[in-house]
Amino acid sequence: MLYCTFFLKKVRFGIPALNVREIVSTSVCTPVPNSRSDILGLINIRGQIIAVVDLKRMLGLKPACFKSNLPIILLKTESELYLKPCDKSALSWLGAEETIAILTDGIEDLVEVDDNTMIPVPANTGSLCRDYLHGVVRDQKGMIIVLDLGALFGTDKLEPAVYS
Amino acid sequence: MELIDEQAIQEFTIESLEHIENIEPDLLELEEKEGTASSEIVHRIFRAIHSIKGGAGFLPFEALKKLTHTMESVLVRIRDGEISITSPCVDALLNSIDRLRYMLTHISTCETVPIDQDLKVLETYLIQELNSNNSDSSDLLLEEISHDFHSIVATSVLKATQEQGNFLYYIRLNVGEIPENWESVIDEMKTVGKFIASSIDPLPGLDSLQNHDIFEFVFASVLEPDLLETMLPFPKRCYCKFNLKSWPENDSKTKNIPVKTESIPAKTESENISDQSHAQPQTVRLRLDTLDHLMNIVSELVIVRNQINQTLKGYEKTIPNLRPILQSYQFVMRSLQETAMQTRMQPLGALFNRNQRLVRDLAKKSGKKVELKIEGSEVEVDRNVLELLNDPLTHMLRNCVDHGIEVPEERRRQGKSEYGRILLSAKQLGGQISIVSRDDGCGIDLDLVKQKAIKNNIINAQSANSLSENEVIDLIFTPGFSTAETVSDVSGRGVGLDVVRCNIEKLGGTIEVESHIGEGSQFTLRLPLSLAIMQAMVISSGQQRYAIPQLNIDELLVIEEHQINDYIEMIHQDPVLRLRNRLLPLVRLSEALNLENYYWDELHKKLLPDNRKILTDRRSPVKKNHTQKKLDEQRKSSRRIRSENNTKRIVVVRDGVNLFALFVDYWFDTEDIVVKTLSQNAASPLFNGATILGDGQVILILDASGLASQLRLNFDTLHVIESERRLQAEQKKKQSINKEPFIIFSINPNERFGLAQKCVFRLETVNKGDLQQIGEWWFMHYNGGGLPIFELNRVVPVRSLPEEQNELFVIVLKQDGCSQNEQRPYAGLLVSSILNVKDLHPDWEKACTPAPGVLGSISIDGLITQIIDPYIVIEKIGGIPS
Repeated sequence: MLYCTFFLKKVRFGIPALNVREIVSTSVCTPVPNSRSDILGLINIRGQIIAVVDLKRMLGLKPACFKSNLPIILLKTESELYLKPCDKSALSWLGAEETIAILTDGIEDLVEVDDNTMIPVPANTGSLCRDYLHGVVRDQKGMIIVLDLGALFGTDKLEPAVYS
Repeated sequence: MELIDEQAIQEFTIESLEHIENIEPDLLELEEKEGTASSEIVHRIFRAIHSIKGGAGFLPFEALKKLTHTMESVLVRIRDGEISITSPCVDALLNSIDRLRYMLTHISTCETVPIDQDLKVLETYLIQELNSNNSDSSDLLLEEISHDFHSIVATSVLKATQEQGNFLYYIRLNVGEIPENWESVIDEMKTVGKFIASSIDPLPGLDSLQNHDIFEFVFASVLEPDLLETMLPFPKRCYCKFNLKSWPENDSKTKNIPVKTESIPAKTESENISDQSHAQPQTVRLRLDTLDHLMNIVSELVIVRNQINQTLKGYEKTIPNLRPILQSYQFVMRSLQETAMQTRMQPLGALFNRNQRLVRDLAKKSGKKVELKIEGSEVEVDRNVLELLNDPLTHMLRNCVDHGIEVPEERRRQGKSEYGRILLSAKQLGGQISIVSRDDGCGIDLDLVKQKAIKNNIINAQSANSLSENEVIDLIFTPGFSTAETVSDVSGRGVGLDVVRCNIEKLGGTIEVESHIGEGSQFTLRLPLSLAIMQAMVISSGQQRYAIPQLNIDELLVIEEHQINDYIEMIHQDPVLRLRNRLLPLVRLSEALNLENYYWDELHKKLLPDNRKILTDRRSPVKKNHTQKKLDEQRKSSRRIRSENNTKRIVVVRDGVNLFALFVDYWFDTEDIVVKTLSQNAASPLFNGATILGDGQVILILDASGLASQLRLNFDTLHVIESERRLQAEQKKKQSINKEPFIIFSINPNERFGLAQKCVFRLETVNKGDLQQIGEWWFMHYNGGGLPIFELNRVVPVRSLPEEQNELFVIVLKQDGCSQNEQRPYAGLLVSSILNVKDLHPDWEKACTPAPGVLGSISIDGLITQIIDPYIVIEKIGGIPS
């Protein structure tokens, strides 16, 4: 399966490339006082107002700070996933109702990985919130921590993992 | 069944439902006018039913077809005057319409819906006896063709027309049978066929028709007789379909057809008129999400335009032609924006009509007589608003009929007309619409409301006594409240008005109630015109900008440094704003939002961090460095240092009846903002949406009630209302000081005038015969002398006194500027009646008929009253004769 890999700090993470709508960057992000702490704020992407998620905080890392021109990953919504015919069975998560934006520290690449080589998260990774991790795969450059988007952004719509 | 296109069925149901929407008000109108109903309405209903039937015929909906067919038959009989329109008949039709609607909304199972009952009821009207004899002798007609007419019809033309697949009709009318709306009939006929020949030119010849006793013509149409029947407003016996074979042989080969086919109906101005009536705007069906998408794109485009404008601002001089290009761009964008907005707007009429039916049914059920008058159905609102408005309106009207209007006997006893009147009106005022529902029923019995509220445990008996009138009325909006003694299927379950208020507030609107016992009550809804775009003020706090809806802003205050102590006071640690006899809680927005404090620096024209914690702190907002501090301390002995950067900006925010003062760092302009819903993830009770400003930044829209609860503002509503009332009383007092009594009189009915009572010496009645005319003046004996009397129409353009009235009034004036002792009759003004004395506030509007002596006009009890200065009038007519 094709993964989009990105960095939070220096750590490599991966999410299924099929779930990615686009990668953007903006100069301003409007904070929303009194809302969920893991929401960094709102950004304007071509007239659409999208909430930016602080993935670092969700994973238990040091909270992020919005800086202009950091890459932001926009995830496809449920309807966007259905818009173009694709192999639904290849999806681990069917998207949320709204577009979700993830602030990253850097985008790396698209990496094709054999899902059969995926191994469960080792037992000692306590520094990251294990609930949100799907597994770990290796490629030539090293380890990729694959995130469980369903657990992160919408559990009720989650389909059981298709990995063996 | 599978062969039938799903889409076709869907289109059919949508279209049919639309027809039904139109039929209902027509039927109601029919009932209202009873015998006098115009055939136009019957035709409209008929056509609508007919198109449903036609649609059902193509699709496998036998039951639908059967029902519509029977309805159609009944309507034919109504149209032909065979049966008269009665209330039970309309009932039967309305019930069938309901059944139809049900079937259409459950189209997949519509064949199983029982319709026998409806058919049975309808059929009773089919077998009812004829009102008039009606012989069907169509074939005989052809033999009666007059020779004159026969000779002008060219058989060749008939033949050619028939070969084109048209049916030929011979129509023969007696002069008396020509319908009143002849021109539009002709016009309508022309849309489905053409006139081959006629004995006289129908349109301009209408007058000359009087000279002929019959009027014949040949009409060709692709429509079959039973279809044409629906179109033609004349009885069946007046026309017949014929075949060329049965057309009597034509020997004279006239080629000169006196009336050319194309010139019928001739192009006269009457055609233009009927054209207008036909010129209904063409429409297409559009998917709603397409419209929403369009709206989104347009609002994006607006933002891009703002960005372009900002970027190119500095280049207007360096790039030739840039300015005109930008200007026309601006213009096109604005009209695009307006048009896109317009697509979302819908008239309130559809919603109002739906309720007309409701009121009728309710009234019938409860044995009351109700007349619903609708005004302003052309007012347009955003369709989102329209949808959310449906429930509140229904509840409100329900309430009116059920609780407001009394039963006929009761009304008669109170000297009211048996028919309870409900006025439903809509008006657009700026960016708001107001919808008023007023009834002349019994009003709200405050004591009863109190008792019920105590009974339903909404309030306790002690607090009930301390409630103000407004608060008692407010109780009717509490969930679970109902004054009805019994639970009917109409109301009484205590769910109703709370829904009204809830929905209205959801829309960002307000609801007001005014009620007088025995006279009726009035509900006023105020709503924003559109949910998508609203007026908002952009403010800044803690380096962030926020928008406050204009609806929530009561006023803006700038408090200069030296005024701070006049306006801001501390109650222990909490600041309050003293505003015209009221104390309002004063809160800092940045505190509510957990933001840093900033202030607007006039010198640097930007926001800088503010270190002062307390609002009344008048020191400099910036921490001084050490040397400066020392310098200050040295000066302190002589006078205290105060900073110029102390201007406070306060927004008085309204949340329903509650007011609070919001201290903001700075404010910008009021803008039209496009409201976008807040992402679920970022939801917060403090905000009810977000918008994008011209520079592309997202800003949040503050929610007044969310803000109040976040700040834990405990509104003692009683206190607020109390102080408001006191204020009102004071204002009233103030106003009444300035008020002056005016005498209201009329010269000709409906034309009202007023003049200040201080000019008047006395009012006298006079008989016309006692007046003596000398020159332009009248004279009458008064106090042992002659009193000159004049009429107003000598100077002011008004109608003269009614000729037939014998007993008139004279307003005897005293001399201008005379002291109390010297008062004596000076001159008289002749009027037809004295109506009233009113205390008026002298702030007139511009006069309707500007003339010397007319000071202005004012509306009294809904009638325009012109205020006269009699002395100017006298001066104009050359002073009184000595």
